[in-house]
Amino acid sequence: MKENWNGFVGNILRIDLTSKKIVKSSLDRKTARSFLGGNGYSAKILWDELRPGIDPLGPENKFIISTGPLTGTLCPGSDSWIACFKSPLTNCWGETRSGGGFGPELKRAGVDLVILEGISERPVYIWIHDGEAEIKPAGHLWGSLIPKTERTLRSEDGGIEAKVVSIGPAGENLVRFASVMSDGRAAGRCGGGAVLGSKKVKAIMVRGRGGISVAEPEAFISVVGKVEEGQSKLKVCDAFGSGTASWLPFYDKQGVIPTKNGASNCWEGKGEEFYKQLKEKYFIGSRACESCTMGCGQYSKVKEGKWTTPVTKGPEYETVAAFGHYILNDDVEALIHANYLCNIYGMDTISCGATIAFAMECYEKGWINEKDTDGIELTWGNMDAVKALIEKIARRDGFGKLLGEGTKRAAEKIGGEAPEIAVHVKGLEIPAHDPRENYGGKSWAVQYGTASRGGCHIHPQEPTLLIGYYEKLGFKESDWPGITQPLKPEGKGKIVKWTQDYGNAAECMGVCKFHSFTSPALTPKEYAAMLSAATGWNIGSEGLFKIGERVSNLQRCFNVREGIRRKDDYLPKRLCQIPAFGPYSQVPETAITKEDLDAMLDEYYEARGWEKETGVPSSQKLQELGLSEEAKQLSKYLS
Amino acid sequence: MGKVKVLAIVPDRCSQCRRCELYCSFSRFKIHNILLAGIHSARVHVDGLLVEPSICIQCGRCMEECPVLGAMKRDPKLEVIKVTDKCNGCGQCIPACPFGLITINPDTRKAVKCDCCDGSPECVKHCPYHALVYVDADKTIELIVATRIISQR
Repeated sequence: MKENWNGFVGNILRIDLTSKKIVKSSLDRKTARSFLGGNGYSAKILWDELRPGIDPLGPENKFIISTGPLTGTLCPGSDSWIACFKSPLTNCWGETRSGGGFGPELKRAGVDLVILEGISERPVYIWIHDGEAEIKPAGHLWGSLIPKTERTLRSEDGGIEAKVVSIGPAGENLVRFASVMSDGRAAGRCGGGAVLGSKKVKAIMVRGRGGISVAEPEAFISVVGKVEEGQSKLKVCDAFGSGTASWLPFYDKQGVIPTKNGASNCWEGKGEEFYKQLKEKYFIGSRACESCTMGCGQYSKVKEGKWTTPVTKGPEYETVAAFGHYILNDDVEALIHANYLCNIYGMDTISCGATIAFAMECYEKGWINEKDTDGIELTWGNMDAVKALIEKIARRDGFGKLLGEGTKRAAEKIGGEAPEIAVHVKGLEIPAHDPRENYGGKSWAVQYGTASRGGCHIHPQEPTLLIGYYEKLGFKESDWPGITQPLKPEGKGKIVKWTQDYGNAAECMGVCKFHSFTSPALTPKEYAAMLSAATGWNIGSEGLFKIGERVSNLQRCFNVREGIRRKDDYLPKRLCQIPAFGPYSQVPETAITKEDLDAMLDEYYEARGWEKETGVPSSQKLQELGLSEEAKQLSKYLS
Repeated sequence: MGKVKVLAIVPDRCSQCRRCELYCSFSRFKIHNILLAGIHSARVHVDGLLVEPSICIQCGRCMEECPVLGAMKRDPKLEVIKVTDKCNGCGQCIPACPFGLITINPDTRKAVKCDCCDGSPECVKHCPYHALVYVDADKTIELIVATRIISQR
């Protein structure tokens, strides 16, 4: 008998690429109730099924694409699909999400989760249509760029409305920061593209015509209506609607953007100039992800000249920073072109820009020379060199082979002092939210240090969500000590714990976390109400946070099993120093000392209920979260 | 008698969020199912930007092809074509629709098409980008031309 699911559609597809066996099974109700979907349900699967220490690019790794119970519904911004795996970049927990239409389409096809395991001998793609899946040969697509792959697959099989996620040459060539692309959008971080590449899966295409029902339609739609109405009055929605690049002027002033491989935290006035040029000359329109009320996705084009670029998604804020500030490039057309190249080759723009910035500094310092770089003159802001390098990285050719390993591994290979200037946590390059800034400030240090996937701003969530919006979220200043003093270490551990749990809850529900910034229209209370109405389970906002906390803890357990401890939760040296130039070089409070980091981590572990010396979740905490079995397995592993 | 209003779309404003489709199916059948929607906002995704939103213009071809007397009826006040209880789900209206907007609901076995929600279309009420409008028939051209000029500045 068909099980009755609301919110979820209730099915898992398990695809063994080695034996070409496809098994369809039901979601486990107990797991779904404890973890919802998304990175929560996936964390449970990867914890249960992955042996610690496996090669992320070997046959034992699994690649799980998941959606949440709110994905594809009318809940604003419910457009997520999130892939979870062991990351080839960090060797620990890897997750990468994107919006667009793939998540909702997967649910319309009657599937919540797709688990890819094993390794195919030959290139294949997966074709999922209305609950059925096929493994089809993709030899003819191997080597092709992202737009061609999507076009070919749609014309061969899927039709115009099919949704495709695919990898480009970067993923095929196992570049450790290769992205998974879908409709111009990127699930960029952690090297998901390389995991798919190692499995020889070029693409996953899906088409579905089914429905997604909710348990209590009246209750659900009434909350949705209220949220929509509240959002339509908020200025922040207009700001998102202008694209994430519209934050550049403000962020530049606040010192949020790491510049010159993190030597400083801003490049005076450039943020404003970049956005002005993008808005006036290059942005040609925007598109929303499915079910989104804000529509942040901008498209750009360079009509003529040296950097002529066809219509391409972006550049987003992070990409502008990575190919602007990180590498001291002020040519916006070249920046748009670099974004385009990363999009068609399938590479993460943040990691790519950061790795090139790192190489540029090594070149400046004389640690590498033109012999190492295949004759490329790797001076700051040299965009011809950057273009050549992007192509080399994607093809893993010559010097690109080294950089395609990511900053951490490249630094170890170059040796000497190079690791000192490598800006990453656990191997994941730091995005454009400098911990020396004057808005979120030192909370970033804790977020980067403790986020499951390494140096990431938005997984699980930006601490500035609480810092900037605490009043709208119904808190008082006195509830959160240190919340108005970004450059002081006090209180940051607790703030980060709260935002991380909230962020993980959003990932499990399958919604876009940009919408969390639309409080007071959309707060944990509204999310809990929509989730309860959709699933029919009674989950209050406290329950929602409990789920978030459970997921944060299980992901940490996964990382502990891979060898991650307190020592791995520290910031790179570069970001702890007072900025070398710019206005913030005069502000000594921007420095982050070892004592600051120690104090903040202590506070964070204490708030989490983890052991302070090691950063390992305590058995007591795990039991309290209903993870007794996991606690037993963990202590067995640790003994 | 008041002027006839029509459902119109300003394509340049449409952001392909598909909330109109979700609202259309949800308000009628309490389920998110874009197949049961009488509107399609995002028919084409060619490398991202091209949109060809499809809305029902109440042209009446479905009614012309309908073999069951009284299964489709023109509402004289709203100038819309409605599916009545007499519909037996034969599906002859499906290929008749030039926009491919008609389906048969497998549960009710009746044709599903846009009837402008009795004069207050859900899709218009909830379009976050104000791309859908329900206006006097003679206003649509002006509106669409005006937004075209603004967006091409």
